[in-house]
Amino acid sequence: MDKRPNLIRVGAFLLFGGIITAVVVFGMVRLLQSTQTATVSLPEEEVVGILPPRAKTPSQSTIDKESCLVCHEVEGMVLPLDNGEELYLTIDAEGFANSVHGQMDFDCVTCHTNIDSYPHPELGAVDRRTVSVELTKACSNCHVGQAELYSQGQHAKKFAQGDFNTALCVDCHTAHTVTDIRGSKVEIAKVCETCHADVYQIYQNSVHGAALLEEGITDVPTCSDCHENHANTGPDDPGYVLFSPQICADCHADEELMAKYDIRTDVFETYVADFHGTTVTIFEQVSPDQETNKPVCIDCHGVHDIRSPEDSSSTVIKENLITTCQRCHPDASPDFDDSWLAHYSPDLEKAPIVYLVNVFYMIVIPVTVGGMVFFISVDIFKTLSKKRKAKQTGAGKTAAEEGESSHD
Amino acid sequence: MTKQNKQYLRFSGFRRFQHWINTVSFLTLGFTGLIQKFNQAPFSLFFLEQLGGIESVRIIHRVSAIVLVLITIVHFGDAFYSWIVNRKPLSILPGKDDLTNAWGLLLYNLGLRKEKPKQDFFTFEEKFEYWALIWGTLLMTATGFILWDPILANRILPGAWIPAAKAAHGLEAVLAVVAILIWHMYHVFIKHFNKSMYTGYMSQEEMEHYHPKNLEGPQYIPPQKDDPKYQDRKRKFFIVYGVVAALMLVGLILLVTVEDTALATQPPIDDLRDLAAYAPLEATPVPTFAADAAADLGETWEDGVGEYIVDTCGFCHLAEGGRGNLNLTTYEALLLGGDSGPAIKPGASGVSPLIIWPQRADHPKQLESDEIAALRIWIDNGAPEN
Repeated sequence: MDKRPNLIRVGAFLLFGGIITAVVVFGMVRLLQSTQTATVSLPEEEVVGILPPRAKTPSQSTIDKESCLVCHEVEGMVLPLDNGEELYLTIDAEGFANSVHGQMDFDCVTCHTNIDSYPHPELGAVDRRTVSVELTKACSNCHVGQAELYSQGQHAKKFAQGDFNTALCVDCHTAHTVTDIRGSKVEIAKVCETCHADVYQIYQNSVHGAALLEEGITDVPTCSDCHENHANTGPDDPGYVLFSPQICADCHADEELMAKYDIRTDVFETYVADFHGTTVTIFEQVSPDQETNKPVCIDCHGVHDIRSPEDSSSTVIKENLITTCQRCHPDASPDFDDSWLAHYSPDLEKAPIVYLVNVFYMIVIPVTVGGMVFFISVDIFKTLSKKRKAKQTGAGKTAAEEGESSHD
Repeated sequence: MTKQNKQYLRFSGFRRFQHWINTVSFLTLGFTGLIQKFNQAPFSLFFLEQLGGIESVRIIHRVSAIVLVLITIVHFGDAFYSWIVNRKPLSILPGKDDLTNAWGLLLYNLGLRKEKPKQDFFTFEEKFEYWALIWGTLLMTATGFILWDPILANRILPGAWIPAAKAAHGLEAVLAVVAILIWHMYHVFIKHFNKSMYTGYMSQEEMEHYHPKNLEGPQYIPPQKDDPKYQDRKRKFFIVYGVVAALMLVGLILLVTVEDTALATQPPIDDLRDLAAYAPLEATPVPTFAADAAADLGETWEDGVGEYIVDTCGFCHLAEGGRGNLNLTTYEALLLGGDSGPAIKPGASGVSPLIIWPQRADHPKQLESDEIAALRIWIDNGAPEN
């Protein structure tokens, strides 16, 4: 055998090892750098249909509204009910004329389908609420889609459990002066305030509420942006809390929207990457209905009272953060909040130790794995070339050589 | 015994037991850990679900961790026993030879050197494997318990070390698993199926091929069992190791039980969520329509109300053929009513036609507001006859 090393062969060995090593190392680095991002997936808003008016009106009566208003426009039509309440029967004819239904020239009997003559049939109800409950059923004759959504919502669920205070169609929309408030976030908040005054009080002082109600900024969420309107949801719904970070992210991960207010958009991504968010995200994906004991956005930032991080009463500014941590971790030491990366991706300034650990492994892993792969690929190449050589010199090979090659 | 059949002991049954316990716990830890680290991969989500959810995976991970720590404590005892009591050379210690052997093998494989380096009882490949495992286990145990007991850890370490431990734990896991997959799999399965971790033994031929240097030097002679020095070493070893192992066990139990923060975080206190959902604004009151002043028509039908109604309404609503078949000339007829029912509903002036109809635009006669107010009072008082 030639005593000088065959440089071409050495070169081929190095190239072979080098290519395999490069491929493996490249793959490793890509894998390690891939960030753990869960996608924000809010359901598309449901478009609900409205049946043409009168299509399902059971009453074939053709009593026009003027006939009704002859009496019902008279001020002071008040019916005392058995429980001492009074049912107000005078109709604000002008208000009705300006309502969405008035503008479509609806008649009273379109909704009041049980009225076809005078004197009217006995009312039968003993209190105002029962009257509303009975009469509001007429809404679903046309608004089938909304009624369907409503039946999935918390109001309907509470109602089914016997809570008569829960909102009916007419509680939010009124009965006779229905207007389209879809465009007005302020109006929506005011409607909810009717029953949820305590929440409204808190909301109006929050960063979102103040922006909407004082400054008229309509990019902020009003009640229905987080809770939906007809199929309204809340923490009593299984999965709502687990899903809630995605509700926040719907705006807070929206680069275009956040750019207007100079707010960071990586808060959701960094939340998902950290302790709490990882678990919550997996819960949400694997068992969305389970109760979580890990915090979502609202647990630290507040629910309706979310403050700006510039506000000294914010629960998440550095001075207040440990108190917020201690709500769930009562034994936490004063610098326990440093274990939370505060929605930052680790870098030299924000979390130097974490950053250095990452850098260390970003070097050590590719070098180690690369070294191993290189070493092994050269070893494989050598074994293969030895086998080939053994075949070529097949006739002259000795038992010792055979033993050698079979083990390499 | 022929040369071919002579068997050399490489791993005692106890050592093999340690290896396989370690294998099972390492694989379980690696698998349950990596699906947590790369939890957004569909593969991971599938297994997270199949294994009963993230909390269940965490419990499996922790149980395996306890097993790994226990077998490591056992292994240290075994290793030190073999070295101190049995006076067996610590052939696993790395040395300068390992570097020369690694370099020599690379040059040999590249064809730059004719001779393969002669390796000892443990080759440099095996030592690399072993010390990587020791380093990895110590690091993973340390960082793992920081994550298991973050609040306890934070009493000693700065808070920022907890996410650093998390980063190191995950990345070291990647390194360890990949290293095992590449280095260990290649050397014990692919390059040559090394059965000694199953049988415990290696043949003369294999020893000559892989560990020739070990056959050259003086062979290890086990101590005499009845040697008093050996007996003494053995006794002392068990005392010291017993104390150390007991301390380690106590430490392990403490670390495992001291806090459950990472598994079961306490639910937040309710100050954010105990707000009354239903807190209605004060309802708009039903408007009242009592006029400021009521005419003095008397308090009963007899007292003057009747006279007023007969005088005011009786012209049309007369006894025979009154408008709408309504007779408003007697109290009884008033209650009986006409085509539209009774003219009054005692107690409910708001729905009594006697009040409503004269206010209609199409009613020929309009009443004064103070007169309506007086009639309302009379009806609301029950419309007394006398």
